[in-house]
This record gives sequence, C-alpha cells and structure tokens, in this order.
Amino acid sequence: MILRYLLRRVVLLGVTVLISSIIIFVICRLLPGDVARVLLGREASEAALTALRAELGLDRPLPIQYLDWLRGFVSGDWGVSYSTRQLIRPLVFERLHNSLLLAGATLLLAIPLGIGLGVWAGRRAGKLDDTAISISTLAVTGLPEFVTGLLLIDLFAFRMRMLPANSSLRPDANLLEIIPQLILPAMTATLVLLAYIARLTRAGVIHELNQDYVRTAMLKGLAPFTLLQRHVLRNALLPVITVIAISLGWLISGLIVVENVYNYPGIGRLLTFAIDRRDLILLQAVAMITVVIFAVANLLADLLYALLDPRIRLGDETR
Amino acid sequence: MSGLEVQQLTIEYRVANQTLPVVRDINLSVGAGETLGIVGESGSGKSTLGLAILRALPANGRIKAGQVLLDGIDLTRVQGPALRALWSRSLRLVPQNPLAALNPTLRIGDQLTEAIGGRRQDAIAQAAALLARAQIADPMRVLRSYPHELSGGMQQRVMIAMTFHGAPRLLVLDEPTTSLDVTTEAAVVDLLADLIAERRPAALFISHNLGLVARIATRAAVLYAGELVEIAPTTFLFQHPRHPYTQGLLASLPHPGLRYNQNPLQPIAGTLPDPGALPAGCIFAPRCPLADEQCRRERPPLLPATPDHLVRCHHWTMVEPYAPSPATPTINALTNGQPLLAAHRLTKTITPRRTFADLVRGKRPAPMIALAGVDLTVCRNRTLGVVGESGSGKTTLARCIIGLTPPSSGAIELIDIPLAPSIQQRPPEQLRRLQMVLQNPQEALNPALTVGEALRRPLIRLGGLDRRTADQRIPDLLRLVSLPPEYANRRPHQLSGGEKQRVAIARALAATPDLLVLDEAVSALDVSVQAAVLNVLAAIKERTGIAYVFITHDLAVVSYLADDVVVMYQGQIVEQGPVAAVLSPPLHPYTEVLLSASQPDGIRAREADTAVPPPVSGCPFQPRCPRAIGELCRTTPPPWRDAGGGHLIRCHIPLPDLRAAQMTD
Ligand SMILES: Nc1ncnc2c1ncn2[C@@H]1O[C@H](COP(=O)(O)OP(=O)(O)O)[C@@H](O)[C@H]1O
Ligand SMILES: [Mg+2]
Repeated sequence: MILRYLLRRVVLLGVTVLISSIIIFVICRLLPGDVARVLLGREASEAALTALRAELGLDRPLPIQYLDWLRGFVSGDWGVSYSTRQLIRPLVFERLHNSLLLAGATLLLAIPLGIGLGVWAGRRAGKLDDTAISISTLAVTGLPEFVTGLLLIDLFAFRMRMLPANSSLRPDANLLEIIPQLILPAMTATLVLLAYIARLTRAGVIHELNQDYVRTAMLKGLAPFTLLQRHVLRNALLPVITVIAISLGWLISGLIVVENVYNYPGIGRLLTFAIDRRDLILLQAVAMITVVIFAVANLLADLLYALLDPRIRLGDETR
Repeated sequence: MSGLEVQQLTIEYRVANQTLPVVRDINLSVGAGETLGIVGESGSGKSTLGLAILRALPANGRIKAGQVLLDGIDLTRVQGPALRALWSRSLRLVPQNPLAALNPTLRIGDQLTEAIGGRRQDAIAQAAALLARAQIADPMRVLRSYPHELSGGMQQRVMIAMTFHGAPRLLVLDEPTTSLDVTTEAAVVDLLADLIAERRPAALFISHNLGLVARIATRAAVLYAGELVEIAPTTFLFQHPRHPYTQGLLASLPHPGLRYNQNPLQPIAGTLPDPGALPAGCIFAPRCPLADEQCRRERPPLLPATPDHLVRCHHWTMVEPYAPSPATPTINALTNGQPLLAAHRLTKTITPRRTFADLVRGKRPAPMIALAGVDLTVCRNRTLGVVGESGSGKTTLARCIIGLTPPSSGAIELIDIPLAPSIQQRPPEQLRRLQMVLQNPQEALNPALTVGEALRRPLIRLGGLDRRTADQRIPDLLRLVSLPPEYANRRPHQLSGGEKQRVAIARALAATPDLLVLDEAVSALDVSVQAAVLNVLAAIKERTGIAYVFITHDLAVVSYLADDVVVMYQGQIVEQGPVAAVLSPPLHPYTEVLLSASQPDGIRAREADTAVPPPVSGCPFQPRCPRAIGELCRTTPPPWRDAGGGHLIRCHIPLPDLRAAQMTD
C-alpha cells in the first residue's frame, strides 16, 4: 500500500521534471551565440553554417526540436556532444559517478562534525563554547567557496605538501589514488554545509531539552548519554536528517565552484564546460540530470521524515 | 523517620541578571501514604516547589537554602549517579500535560520498560501489569502505540503506570488532571487515591482546584506568592479557613447552590505581587480586607490556630467561618423568554485531512460528525449554558452561530431574520448583534494595539461612531468590565490573564451586541479572577439586557451563572431546560455522570470500549451509560421526554424511573 503513496509522489516528480525540461530547453535556445558559428569558427561560410544547422536539426520549429530531444532523453539516446563529439550519456554518467564520490566524502565529514558541534553547542547554550562554535561555523560558511578552497590549497598542498592541489582524477585511477584527491574538495564543500547542520542541530537540541518528556526521561534516572541519544537526539535530528537529504542534491550537482577550483571532473564542472563551449545538447542533458537529482533528493527527504516521525507516519489527531 | 520533611526551603530563579526568590522558607511534612494538597493561584510557586523537591528544577532554578528530607536522607545534597539512582528508585512526577511528558517518537512500551529496567521480557510483562493496574483495558495494544495515538485520559494513565513501578517513596502530582475532561478527571483521581493508599509514597497533590484537593488530600497547604500561608486538615481548611487569602479563594469558588443574583461570588481584589518586588510585612496585605499598619510592617510568623492548623496571619482570629447560604433553587422558567436566536436542525460534518498513514493505506479518514441535528433557542436577557465533554460539539456550535464555520445543513435565525451561514456574507448590522469571546485572550488581542485602540475599532466599524465619540465611550466600556480607564493606554503584555479576558469582553461589548457567545471564556483563569469576570458578566446582563451563550465544561460555573442549560454529547443535545431543573437533581444519565464527577463516590461513566464501534442507530451515550437498559438503547434513537417547564430529556428510561433513581442514590 505504501506503493500507492510512492506512485503519487513519483508521478508528481515526473510532472516537475517535465516542466523543468521545457524551461531548460527554452533557456538553452535563448542563450546568446550560434552553435554552428561556435563549432565552425569565425571564418566559416554562410553555406557551411546552414548545412550544419540542417544536419543538427536546428532549422526545424522549436516544439518539434523539443519533442525530439525529450523523446531521445527518455529513451536513453542523449545525443553526441557538439564540441567533443563524444556520446553524452556515458560522459554524464562518468561525471555523475565522480560527483557521487565527492558528495559521499563530504557527507562523511560534514555529518559527524556538524552534528557533533551542534549537540555540543546546544547542550551548552549561552555559554562561551556555544558562542565560539556558532561564530566560527558561521564565519566559515560566510566565506565564498573559492576563497576557502584557495586557502585550503595554500595550506595543505603548497605549505604542508600533504595533499594534491589538483583533483582531476586519472580515468583508470583506483580508489586508493582517488582518496587523497577527494579530501580537499570534500573539505571545502563541508565547510559550506557545516554551519547549516550545526545550527539546525543546535536549535533542535535546545528545543528538545526544554520539552517535558526530557524531564520525564531524566527522572527515570537514565545516564546522561542515554538521555541524550535516546530522547533528545531522536527528536532533535528529525529536521537535520531531512536537510541532509535535500543537500544531497546540491552536493551532487551544485558544487560548481568547488569542482572548478580543484579541477574536479564532476557534474558541476561538466556544466561550466558545456556553457563555455555553447554545447547546447550537452548543457541540456546536464541540466536535466541536475533537475532529476534535486527532485529525487527532495522526495527522499520527505519520505525519510515521514518514516522517522510516527506522528506523521501514523497521523496525529492532536494536530 | 519515614516520609517527606521539607525544612526552610527557599528556591530562586535566575532571570536576566537578577535572582528571584519565588519560593521562600517552606516547612512541611508528609508521611508515607499521606497526600498533602498544595493550592494557590497560578504563579504562586506550586510547580517550582514540587520540582525542587524532586530535584528537577529547570536549569535556571536553584535551591538556595533549606533541606528536603526523604526517609531521613537530605535530597538537596545528593548529586550525580546517586541522584539518578534515587530518581529511578524513589522519586516520581505526574505532570500536567501527559502528551508533552511522553516522548513523541518512542512507543509507550519502550518508554515504560526504560523506566522499569531489568531484562526486557520481564520489563514488558511488568509494564503490561502496570497498565492493567491503571485500568487500561488493552495493555498490549497500548504498549505498541505511540503517545499521540492515545486519548488524553489514556496518556495520563500511562504516566501514572510509569509512576507506580517499583516502590515510589515520593510522588509529586502537578495538576495531573487539569488537561482532562471532568469525567476522565474523576476516574483518574480515584485511581491515584487508590494507588497511593496501596503503595504508600508520600504524595504532594498540586492543584488550583480546591474541590479536587478536598477529595484526595487529608491535609492541604495554601501557597501565596511563594510562601506557605496556611496548612491544615482539608475539612478544617475548607470549612473554617483562618487566612484571609484562603477565605478569599473559597468565596471565589462557584459552589453548587450559589447564584449570581442571590449570593454572588466574592473575588479577591488585586493581583499576585511580582516576585521581584515583594511587599514588606505580610505579602498578602495589599489585597487583604483585614490589613492594618502592623500587617504592612511585620511579616507574620506561622501561628498555630490549633496544633495541626497553622496560619500566617496577624489577625487570624478575625476571619469568619466560611458558610455561604445556599441559594433557594428557583426555577426561572421560560415565561419571560422572548426568543432572540434560533437554530434549526444544525449539522456539521468535518472531513479530517488525510494523514500520511491514510495515504499509505490508501484510505480516507472517516468524516467526523461535530453536530448531529441541533435545535436551540436563545432568549433575550438570559444566559444559556452549554455543557459537555471536549469533542461534544460545543465549540462547533458556537462557531456556527457566529458564522466562523458554515453548518453543513440547517438554519440559524436572529429574531426571524435568517442569518447567512458564513460571517463574510452577513451584513455589518448582524455582525454587530452577535459577538464572541474565546478561551485564550492571548490569541484574541493584537499585541501591537493598545487597549484603547482595540476598543475603538469595533466602536467605529460596527457601532457607527465617529472617532471622537468612540474615544469618549472607551472609559465607559472599561468601567463596564471593572477596569480603570487608564488601562486604555496599556498593551496586552502589560495585562494579566484575567485583565486580558476582560478587555476581550469589553471589545465584544463595544458593538452593543444582542448576544455574546463565550467559548470557555473563563476556563483558563484562576478562581479569583474567574469570579471577578463572572460577576462582571452578570452585572452587564442585568444592566444591558444582553443574552449569553456560555460554553463551559465546568458545571459549577453553569449552575452559578446560567438561566438555561443544554447538555451536549457527541454533537447532539441530550437534555435541556432551566438550569435548576436540569442540574438539581440531574435526570439524564449523562448529566448525572458529569455532575457526580466532582463527588468522591459519584456514579461514573463506563470507559467506552474502543474496539466496539459506537451504535449507529441507537443512543450515542449507550456504550458508556451506567444506566443503559439493554438492547433498546443500542438499536433505537431515544425519544424526547418532557419533564415540564421547558425541561426536555432524551432518554429511553421513563421519567418516573429516572426520578426514582435520584431518590434512592
Ligand atoms: N524557569 C523559570 N524561570 C524563571 N521564572 C520562573 C520559571 N518558572 C517559573 N517561574 C516563575 O516562578 C513563579 C512561580 O511559578 P510556578 O512554580 O510555575 O507557579 P505555579 O505552579 O503555582 O503556577 C512565577 O512567578 C513564575 O513566573
Ligand atoms: Mg504550575
């Protein structure tokens, strides 16, 4: 029966993606610059340009072009990149794989650190360490990624020579080679995420600590750690978990600056590359996959929340 | 020595950079198996005292001085693991709001076994036994439930079960029934009394409800502004109080038999002092009718009126015994009744929003019938009391009358003019004539407006006055609700709860309505404030000829203030008529159950068995009715029986039998 609910959500997701696909297509066509001109160069003759446009199907009416593209995208035929002449689908999936690796590494750093700091700050609310944690995480988040990225490179790559500054993975690299290259980009992304997670956790912990049920649990004589993890965190982390699920979408496809700073071959870098080269068909594919990832991450977040909170899962008559 | 002994206990809260001594110099003792009642207005420090004794004060609270001896051990000196061991073994709390006190994301079973400890299998068996002892019919199902899946009464029974595992030595009950219906409250108090007698902890029963305290406690202490002002056996305390404050509390309480027009309540003047600015001398002196120079100068010690009756008053010998002469129950029949508002066959069906669980299971929630065909007449210059448990449709009825909720079917008319179902469709003249006051004045008053501004709006918009005339009316309005005219410049946060409610009433009266609907408008107020507001309402009615629809769960208030009463159960009226005819003695079994909830051995409703669906065709009260007469009640809707004088009863039991039942009981 849960299938019914899932089905509804998936249909909704499909509609969202469909609408986004129209927007993406239209925006791509509105971008300044002529694909044929970009591909053939400044000196190309008008005849050659017209021929290329016809070959690429760019002379047909827009709705036909859109439907054509959509059909191709859905059936897995994503076309060939204008600029590199590679098949797009394997290219995107390879980059997606790399982005997933980076997202995973980031979460591995950000979740324990963010929650740890948040819990500490929440339990010591108003004290000096709480203020210190709040200010420092906020300050770090306030810095643009390219600044933190460059600072980290300067520190760890140039001064301490511990980690590589360039993270452009070799195509056949094994995991052991990849890990050192992941650390700096993951750290940079972590710094962006950290303050969100820490602040949300802190607010949750403070809120829950003031609830009556925590006093009930305390009066059972539970040890402080049991009290914290079984009662306080169980409720305080509900919103944190959803935020993490949502941020997954951002981590996979939104790390454009970080990937460019480190030359990391992820989806974000592929996006800038496609824009740079006026590679419309590649751009469309990357934008679409981004939209799908965001939509799925949101669905995941909702499902997770509903599954974790019995008041939503089972219905709360008091609300 | 066995039991609880509190010595010179002083408790303070740190707020901003100030420390407020909110509880001062308390001495009391409670033997094992004894229940001591603690009464006093809200803010007098009852909860603070209870939590401090359990060593469970909030983080900004601190025991500044004194001792709390439990079986000879000073609890104020215990720390860390030793304190946790004491908590788990001996100290227990039943708080006011059970839903908040249970972890929303853990099953009841997990929360109970965690308290019990030991091997899981044993703990579960023990938890089930405890729930059964707390009169929960289906312990295994409840163990698997989450808190929000249970009713308020069930949640509180779970808390009580949790409280009585092992061998509790000290039990603090902090308004344990305040959030419950009167019928549930009665059963829960019976249960608590039973368990205390059986397990023999020293118990503190904190309540603002003096009647309840008299039922469960052998002795009671009166707290005023953080000080113990009187302590005595409850029978003495309530019949012969020696402190003017206790006297004032009792004189504010609507006893059965008191009537607004024969022997009105006598509220205590003034308000509780701010804990940051306590008066020198006697703390009650500013509100005390007996206060003199000595009182303002010297703080009185606790003086023994009798060996077990202590009172903190210089003039305790001058306090008269409390003996209100009961009103003669005159049936103020509907002879002078001029119909003002009439409702015909009102129904309201509410379809709840689908929850996640419903979505998952692919089902629609059952529509809820909030009103199932209500006929109602409100007469000019009369107060119609509407009583019933929560969920019986009282508020829906009020909202339909005001037009906040359009009824699903049926009609309402105001002196023969049909009213539009929704407030948006009603012309200003009709809006003016029908006004409403809600339970919570906090939500009703706009914090950004001064009292004067809040009153000016309806004067201009509904009263049709220009701004200058409106401003001239504001002092009159404030005087009407017994507030000084200077209050026009105050903002809501500068008012106490009772003052806010009086402003809300003044605002509703600004439009000079014909009918004022009050939905639990005095329920959240302390007794002394409630008494003041009730008297204000009665005085306004005498002066202006207004009519009230007065919704409340408190039958004592209805019997004090109302002329007529309707009793609602599950969206239907089951009994109606002049208040003296309906309440003394009660004839309908449901009315009887409501009324006897405040008596120690009154007749109780049966706990409805949730597994059996309620009868679709028969009497809705049948599953819980203590006097149901069998199959007829289950299958056939009960007929209206006319007891004369406008008194109607909807029941299968013939009137003579109902009357006879009252004679024999
Ligand atoms: N956590 C707190 N911090 C500061 N003041 C508090 C706190 N809790 C209660 N108070 C104040 O202490 C006084 C006593 O409150 P309380 O013990 O809750 O009274 P009661 O239970 O009798 O209503 C009130 O003036 C209240 O405002
Ligand atoms: Mg309290």
